[in-house]
Amino acid sequence: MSSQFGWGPAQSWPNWLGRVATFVMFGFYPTGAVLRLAPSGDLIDLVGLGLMIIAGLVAAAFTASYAYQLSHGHHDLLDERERQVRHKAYTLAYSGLAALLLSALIYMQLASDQDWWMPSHGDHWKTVFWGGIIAVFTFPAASLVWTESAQSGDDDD
Amino acid sequence: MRKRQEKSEVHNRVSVLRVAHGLSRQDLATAVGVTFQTIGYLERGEYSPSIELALRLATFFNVPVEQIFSLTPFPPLSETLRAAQKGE
Repeated sequence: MSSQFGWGPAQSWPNWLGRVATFVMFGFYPTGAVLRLAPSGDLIDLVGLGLMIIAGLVAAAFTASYAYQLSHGHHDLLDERERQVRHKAYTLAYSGLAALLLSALIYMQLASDQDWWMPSHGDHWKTVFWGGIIAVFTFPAASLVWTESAQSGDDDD
Repeated sequence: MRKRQEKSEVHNRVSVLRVAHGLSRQDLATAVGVTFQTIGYLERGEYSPSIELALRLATFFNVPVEQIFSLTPFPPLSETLRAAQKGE
């Protein structure tokens, strides 16, 4: 499909591929981060870093999908249905991010009282930062691939 | 709060008219200023268009808007043809 959103070609990813991408982004990244925290040696640390890099690369590839460009493309280039879909995506993404932020705040509140783990140095905060960047930029499109019916193969005649 | 139904309750004959005019979804989409995906959603009854888009489709096909969109299901084409043959 050619782009209608003003930058690179939008690809009509099959929904299953978009769902796998979201699973990798939101599954691999936190898993990698936790593995890197564990004091189990260089190999585990390397596997953790690898998982995080894969999640980052998948997030970068995901920006070429129709779902991503639908949620981030220029408003004037969307038709009426696409604007409705974007509105729905942002509503869902807001709920998801708010829940995530609230969970983090509650954890930090408890952690400070209970002496649980907290991010304490540059590496930890960088991990939180890049995780936040991936979540903020991909949540709207990720919500689309889980809620919208398949979009590929529509022009079948 | 009442849960909105996923499936549109507005029935339409967009696909019949499009095929009758020998158009692809992309052709029709370009003519009425939407994406071909939106035409697909419309034809599958997964999207109810705005009044503006409904009127643009009616203008494009040169038929009254109620011949394209209805709140009740359209009778099957075979039934319509049979009724027309009986009327002759």
